[in-house]
Amino acid sequence: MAPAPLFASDDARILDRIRKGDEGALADLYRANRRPVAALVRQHRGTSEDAEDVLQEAIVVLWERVKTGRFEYKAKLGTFIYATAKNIWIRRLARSRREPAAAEGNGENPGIDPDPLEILMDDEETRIVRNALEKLGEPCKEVLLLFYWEELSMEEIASRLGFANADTAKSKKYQCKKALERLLEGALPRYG
Amino acid sequence: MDESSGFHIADDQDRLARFVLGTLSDADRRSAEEHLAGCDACAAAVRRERVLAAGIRRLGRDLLKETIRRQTSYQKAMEIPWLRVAGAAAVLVVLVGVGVIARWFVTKPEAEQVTSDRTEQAPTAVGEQPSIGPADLRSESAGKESLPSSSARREADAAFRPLEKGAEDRQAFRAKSETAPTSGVAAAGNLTSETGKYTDKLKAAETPLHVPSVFWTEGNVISAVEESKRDVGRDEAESRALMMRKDVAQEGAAAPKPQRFAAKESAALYQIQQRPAAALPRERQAMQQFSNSVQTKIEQRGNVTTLTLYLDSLANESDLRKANVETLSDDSVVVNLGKQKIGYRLPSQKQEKRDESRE
Repeated sequence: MAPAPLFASDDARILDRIRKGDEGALADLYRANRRPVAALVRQHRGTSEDAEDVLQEAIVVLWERVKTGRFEYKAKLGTFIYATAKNIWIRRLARSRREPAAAEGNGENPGIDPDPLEILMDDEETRIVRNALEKLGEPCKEVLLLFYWEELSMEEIASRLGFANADTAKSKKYQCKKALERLLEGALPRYG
Repeated sequence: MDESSGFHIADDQDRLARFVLGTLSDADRRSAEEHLAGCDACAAAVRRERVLAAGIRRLGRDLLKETIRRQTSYQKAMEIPWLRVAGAAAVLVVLVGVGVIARWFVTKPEAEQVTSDRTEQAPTAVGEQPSIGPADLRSESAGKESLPSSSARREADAAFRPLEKGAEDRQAFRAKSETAPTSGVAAAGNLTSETGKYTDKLKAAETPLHVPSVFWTEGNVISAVEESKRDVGRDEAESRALMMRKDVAQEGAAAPKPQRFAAKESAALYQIQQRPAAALPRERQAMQQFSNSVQTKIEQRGNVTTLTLYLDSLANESDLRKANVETLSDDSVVVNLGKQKIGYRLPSQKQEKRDESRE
């Protein structure tokens, strides 16, 4: 597929900043998209706090996708964030009513169909894992975040954390994952 | 890569993770999916891996959301709730309006009395300095900078009127006052509550002070009332006169020579202002050599001379109202400020003539 043209130079700059890991881009995206997302969430029975959280989540999704090379520029960033925020909010509403999320994956929104991991993101099991990871401490937390969230290669993790080589990083990651699973054995039946 | 070959995706942790994360190549992904269709153990391993990956990513997202919150919290704190501000402003406007109307009704008879025998209305520009009346003394004693209220202006104008020789003099004085930021209320922002007080009305000088337009000098506090007629302590006065002549020279081109400030003697007016010694300009503080000396700024504007006395202990309002200047000789004056009497040696006309002949 031919790369889509950039619609706006501002978007190009923001994407470049995200690729470079400039966290200041997060605040800029927040400021630029706050009003429409707040209006959307408030229109659909949400509070200002809900709107803030949903917007932050949508920005993080964009960040995650850009950083991991899974972002395709099909619409303006504002459109992407608005559509993502809408999906997130509909999903949350549906879960609170125990209904399927109608808008999810309907192809109406450009480039924001959630992957299986994103759908799992708000599950109770996921929260248990998240909390267990926090208890794991450093450097295991860091190793697992770099691998599963930033999706760095073993070479990159070794370089970032000062391990001797990729094999050392791979071994460390294995140990950390086993440690996490042990923490989860009591809390999650499937790990028992 | 299927079950028949004896390879299970669950056995390759790295491949399992990449399958869950969606980073396998298309070919590898298709192969893995085919394998999972026939391998329950592998499918269970994939489900566990998904929950694990989702939980780890959840933490990553939460940390990044925390970063966003941190970055935007300052902005949110600085945001102005415009509706509330607009509401408060509206209330303020109403209150000020009510206050203005009430004040207008209260002061109207007085204003009519003051203006009835006048041929013109005095200008009321912002920063107006002279002849501040009791109303302003009260407001300034609250420690806030304030401009003379309209009633205070009328009161002050009424006090001014008998002394003035013409509206031109007053207008000229006002015009100059407005462009003189170094004195008056406008310059008193950092001073204490006792600052910026003037004598409550301009007073006619016995004899016009013979001074340059702006200069600094130093007076001596004379403690006893009986001493008021004494000739200001001849020795100290001589040294002060020397210092003063030096000051005059330091004023530079702006006021190099003493000059008469009034064409007509009877039109000469003065006012006395007091400020705390702490408000002295730094360079003048360094010149404060004696405990009983009073650094003083003398400014001449039109036919009015303003003496600003920088005092350690300020006179009270009543004493300030009664303050006056006595001329002892053509180069010696005493400022009576309640219990304090301050003597000054001024540049004499004789001295001036001697200076001029030397030049």
